[in-house]
Amino acid sequence: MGSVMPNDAPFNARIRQAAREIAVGRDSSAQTLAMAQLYDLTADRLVRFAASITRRQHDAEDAVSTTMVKVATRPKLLVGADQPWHYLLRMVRNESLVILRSRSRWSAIGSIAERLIGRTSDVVERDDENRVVWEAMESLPATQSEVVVLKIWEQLTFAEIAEVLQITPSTAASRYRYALEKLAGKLSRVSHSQPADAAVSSRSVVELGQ
Amino acid sequence: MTMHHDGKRGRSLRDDHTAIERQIAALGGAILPGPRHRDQLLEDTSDSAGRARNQLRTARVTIALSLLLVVVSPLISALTRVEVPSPQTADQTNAAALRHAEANQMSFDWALVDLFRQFRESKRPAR
Repeated sequence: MGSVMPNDAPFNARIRQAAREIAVGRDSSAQTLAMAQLYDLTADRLVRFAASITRRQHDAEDAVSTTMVKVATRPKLLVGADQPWHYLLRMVRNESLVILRSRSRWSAIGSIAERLIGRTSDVVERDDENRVVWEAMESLPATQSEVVVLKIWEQLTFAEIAEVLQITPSTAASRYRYALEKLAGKLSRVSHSQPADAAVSSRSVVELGQ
Repeated sequence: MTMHHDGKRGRSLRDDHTAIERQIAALGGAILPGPRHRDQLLEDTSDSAGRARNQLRTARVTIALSLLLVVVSPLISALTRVEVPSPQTADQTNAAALRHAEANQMSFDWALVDLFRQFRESKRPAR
């Protein structure tokens, strides 16, 4: 796995501590400082989780912003949670789903326009070699991609994923297995169609599209 | 991309999945918030906290004023009450006539007439 995740217990403790500081912050500067700590602790991971649901960078950032504003308004929600990190993930997921639901018709037209001009997503740069993997992830049903994200990016167990997504652990496990099988199919097609040592370029995006 | 999903090449499914997991993990490291997101978010949360504090202060002031009004309203009511004079009863008029007759050395009947005149004079608008 690429990024090493911190052990959950101290991470949860640090989130709870940050939330506690937000709660007791007497003035706005103390609260802002505590919010900055919470942001630095969690934002990168929350944004990429939200991006896996919304499939758009700015929507993911909006979901995280809305969540953080809620935390700033009611930090005791986080202080009182058994697992503050899981609680935050749930909050971000809910906000992302709200954003997905509220995307207007105009936004859908905008998305079609983006596809027509070749900007299918702004989450990963066009010439980034991760783009192929991102597009393969995008092709998964949301229910499967979020399990993959929580398993691989957040290194949660299936029991923890089940808790965050409010499903059973066996459902989480089967979604993960199906998702990996689909990803294997998609990514192998791409890897067969280009030299192994070449960085994935925009050409492979076209191949994936075909 | 070095991952292959091809049983003929002898690579197991587990190896394929491990490779995919590695690729997805690498993708995770590439997705980051925009450079202005942090500042914008902190500004938003600061504004929101300020608004929440103001709302709380307004609510407290409103509650305090409401309680004060509840406490003070009986006092205001007592101070501003205007009592409409009620007409005298027959007993009160008789007693007044008796007092008037005794004070002016006149008969009870004339005392009643006197009182009636006084009453009528008091009702007549002043010129």
